[in-house]
Amino acid sequence: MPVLTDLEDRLLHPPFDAAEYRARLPAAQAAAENIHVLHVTAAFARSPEWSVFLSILGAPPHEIPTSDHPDYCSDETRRAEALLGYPPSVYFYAGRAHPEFGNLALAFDAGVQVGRIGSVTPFDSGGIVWQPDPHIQVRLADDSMQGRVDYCHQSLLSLEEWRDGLGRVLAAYFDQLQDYWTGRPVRFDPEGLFELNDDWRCWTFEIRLAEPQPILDCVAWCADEAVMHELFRLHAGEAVVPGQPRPVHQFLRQRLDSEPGGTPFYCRAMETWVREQLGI
Amino acid sequence: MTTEKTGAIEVGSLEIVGLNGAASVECGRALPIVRRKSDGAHAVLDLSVPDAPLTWYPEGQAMDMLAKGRWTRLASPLTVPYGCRDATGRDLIVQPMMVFADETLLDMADRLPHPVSFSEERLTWRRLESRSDKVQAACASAPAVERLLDLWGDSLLQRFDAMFRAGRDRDYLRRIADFALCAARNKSLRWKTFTYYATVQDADRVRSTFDKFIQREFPSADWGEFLDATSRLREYLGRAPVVNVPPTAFSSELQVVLSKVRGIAAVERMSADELFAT
Repeated sequence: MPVLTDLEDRLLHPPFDAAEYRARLPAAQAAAENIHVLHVTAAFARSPEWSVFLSILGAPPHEIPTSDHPDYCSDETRRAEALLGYPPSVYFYAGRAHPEFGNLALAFDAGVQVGRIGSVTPFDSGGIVWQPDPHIQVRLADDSMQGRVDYCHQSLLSLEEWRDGLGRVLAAYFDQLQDYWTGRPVRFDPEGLFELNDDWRCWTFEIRLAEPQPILDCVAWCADEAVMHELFRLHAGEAVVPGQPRPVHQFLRQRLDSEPGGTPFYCRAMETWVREQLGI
Repeated sequence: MTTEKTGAIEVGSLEIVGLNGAASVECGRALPIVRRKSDGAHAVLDLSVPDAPLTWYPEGQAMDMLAKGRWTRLASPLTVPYGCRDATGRDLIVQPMMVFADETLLDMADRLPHPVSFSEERLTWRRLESRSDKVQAACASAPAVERLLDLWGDSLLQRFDAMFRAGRDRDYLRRIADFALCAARNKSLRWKTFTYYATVQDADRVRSTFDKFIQREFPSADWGEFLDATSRLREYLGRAPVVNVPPTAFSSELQVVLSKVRGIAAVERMSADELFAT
């Protein structure tokens, strides 16, 4: 029974408290409605000339590719998608920066999902079906790979309903909203997703868009200092063509004000910014 | 379980195997990537949120991320620096930070060979996989790494002064200033370094650099203040270098810049021939 299934019924019984849930729900829903989704990537991963990121930024259509791009996503991601029956996707996490490997985190606002095709799970789905050792544990009657795939399918949410689902998860399982970032759920689900794991990847919402994402639509981003210096150099050498948009300039406008020169802690900086936007 | 409270981690159970992101510039810092010896899981060693558990990634996933260039592996592992541990040597109490440097930059800063210690911390340097032997990385406490980068930045500015006076060409000077910007972390040093860079930058790019980078880092600074700082620097350095401005860039905006950039502009005293020289 995934975390949202029959939640209203479960709220009537300990350890849940329906009255407390109702009291927490408005703030939780407001946060969920407005939470930014984050995408972490590696800019200038190899030599700048061959960087996928540079090609995204340097040439139209300036889009983050879906996972079928051989150099952008891993074979493991594609294997998990094949197992789960997901189309090639761009991956985002609600307010959290995952994975932490990389050097650039991008934030997109609620408009990112409007009119798009995709799906959502209330956890990092790859972690459930990772082979050979899934790093997210669940207690399933059928703990085979098929059982895990079924659990993911039972947990699926549409792009239209996930924000409501996140609001209910925050109100039901967490004592305080900030615990989504700095704590953990304090009430547990039947499969032990929140009990067996102490890892935020089991309670963050994974948003998958089945089409490329325009990078210049990001509303904020933060990178490490090396990326910032690469962008400084790129800006210094960028050709000026009258009347033509200058993607590096456009991109630089969305840089996080708090870390204009970059920071090794770019993931935390981005998550802090998300919390500030939500007043949490 | 896939996470642990950082305070509960036996640092002896970890080895530093790389740095997050890519050493794509000539020097810099990045969070360490650690490997848990017991199961090979990898994590970004980020202690910025007190008591937050580390997020561990299975070895296979970490290797996947490595192949995609999301982190950079050392040629051989390092131990967690003692400068980051408590008195018992068992627990982490200070954020460890990787520092990397290309010999070209250190040579220019007159800081070769790679230092074996700094700020009473031992530095053990390792080559980075898939990078030239000239680039090496070490791990120390975050405060020590920041001071080391500033030392390199400051040394590069001293080199700039000397080369400026020796009459070296603008491209060479700009390369030194660019390296200094790459290194400098301290705010006042970065401000100073931006002024150095401006003195040897193409005149038509100075305002744009100020708007896009300098003012973002120094929100209270205005253009006039920056020009004054640049001007003072030029007076200190003694004479203007040759400014090569391509004819196509000679827009009205450039004229405004040229007339305003008193520092860059000894330009005001230049002849048209000098301005259009390539």
